[in-house]
Amino acid sequence: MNNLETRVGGAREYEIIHSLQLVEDPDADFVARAQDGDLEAFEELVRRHSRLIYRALVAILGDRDNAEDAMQDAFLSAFKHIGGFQRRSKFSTWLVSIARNAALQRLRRPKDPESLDAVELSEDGYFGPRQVRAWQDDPEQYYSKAEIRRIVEQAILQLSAKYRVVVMLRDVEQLSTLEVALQLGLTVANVKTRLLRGRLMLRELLAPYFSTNAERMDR
Amino acid sequence: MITCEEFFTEFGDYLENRVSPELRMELEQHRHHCRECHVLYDSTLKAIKIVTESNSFELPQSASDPIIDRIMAKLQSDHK
Repeated sequence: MNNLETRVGGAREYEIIHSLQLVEDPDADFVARAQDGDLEAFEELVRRHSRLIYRALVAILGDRDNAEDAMQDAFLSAFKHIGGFQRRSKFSTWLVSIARNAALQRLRRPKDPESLDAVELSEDGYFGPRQVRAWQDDPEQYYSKAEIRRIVEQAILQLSAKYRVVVMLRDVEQLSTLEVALQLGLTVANVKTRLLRGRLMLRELLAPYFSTNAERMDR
Repeated sequence: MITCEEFFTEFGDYLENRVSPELRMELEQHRHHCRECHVLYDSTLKAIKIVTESNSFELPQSASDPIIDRIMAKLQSDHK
């Protein structure tokens, strides 16, 4: 069993991963040119992936300004190390791992770093939902798109980093569960657990705004 | 008939549409009889939809362009 299989799970998942890795990387040509020192090709890669990297960094760091600074560190580091990228994964997967390291270096600086790998005692326990009121069908009847975005961002930032990063990559950036597992170096089972808990926590945080008897809450 | 605890055990895969047709039928029967589990399912799906469609943490081009310019200026100066 190789490292990838150990990390992601059983034989069936390994087969899926193997087939995923065989899918042609849409960045391959630009990566090859950037590996030869072509800065224009690298700039194209930066433009293609800046949104993904920014969201991954906000998710890990929980802060927009810090994420912008970390994004610069991540892309500079990516260029420095791109010669060593051996194309065993998609470029975007490799890039997220570089960004993750840049973010974790920043997280180590504060007094109480919020670890992505911290295990909570209740990780596998039953998470009893507290809000059992039905939800409105059309939230845009009550809030503008900008207001909804603010409410959602505020709720996501209240999650701890281990849940926030999984929810951001799966539900905001809309990567598959397998891609999230690969990008974060977690097992698929672990991603599923964190995703469910993160989604349930978000549901609790959003319920005061979107349940049927919620009064419109001005931000 | 499955219990609420069994419903919750399958809840994550049910949300992701990753359960067998037989299990799906059992989960839907449970939802039909249990208001709390029905509300949990319906509201969690709505929460996911709201989050997905919110376009949260978008990096506007007006913010990304200066960052990209700084990155490229640094690389160009290192390259000389």
